[in-house]
Amino acid sequence: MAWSYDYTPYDRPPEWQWHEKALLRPTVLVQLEGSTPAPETFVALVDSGCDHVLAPEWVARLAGADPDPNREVSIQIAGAPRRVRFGDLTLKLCSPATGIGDAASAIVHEWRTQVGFFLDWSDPPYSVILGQCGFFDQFTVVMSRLAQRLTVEPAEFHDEHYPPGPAEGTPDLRPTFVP
Amino acid sequence: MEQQAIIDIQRKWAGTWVAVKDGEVVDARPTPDALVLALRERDIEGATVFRCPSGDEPELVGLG
Repeated sequence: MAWSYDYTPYDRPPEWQWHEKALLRPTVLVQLEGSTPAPETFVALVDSGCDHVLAPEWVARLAGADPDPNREVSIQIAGAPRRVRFGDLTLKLCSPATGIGDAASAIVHEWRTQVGFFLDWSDPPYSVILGQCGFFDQFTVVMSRLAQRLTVEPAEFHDEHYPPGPAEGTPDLRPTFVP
Repeated sequence: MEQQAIIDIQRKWAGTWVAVKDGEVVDARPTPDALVLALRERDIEGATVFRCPSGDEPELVGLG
């Protein structure tokens, strides 16, 4: 089973008029649940360059999350160091058939993961950032700018179609390049 | 929601956080805290929340 999501379009500022290509972001719709389900659905940026699932603190309040003071770190993001405190939540991935603003969301998959909540950044540009640990380790994610879509495949999809990588937590014994 | 409809919302509500439900913007505020507070006060649940970039802000790369 795989789920394909259209990229979300954005307007480019006027100074980009010379640029022929649309501004598109890989996004999915997600819901979060801590001690209570957040009443809202969030447009989440799928960000392969981020190692975590991140969200602002107001999302923690909505989801009844209880970030753990023993799991508080600083990360450098958006040009500044930010304090982030992690808590455990259930993430729910909405079906591709669920559009922005659809009150009745079909959930295709849900999983537990830790989410880092910004303590000192109230309004980052996205409500949820889906990074490597907590999203990319749950699925194989295929992105195509040409198709303008991202497809979420089962985790085992990668090793069934490409040379398998090392399992999580095991040493990578593949040969390394020596110039 | 069609992609053009998403663009139209971004243009109309540039610089705000919006809540969309059943194809309509049901509220828009300058900050997400204000938006969520308004949604709770109006007893609105099930909306999709996202930010509409303002027209004069630099293009975001990743999280900037």
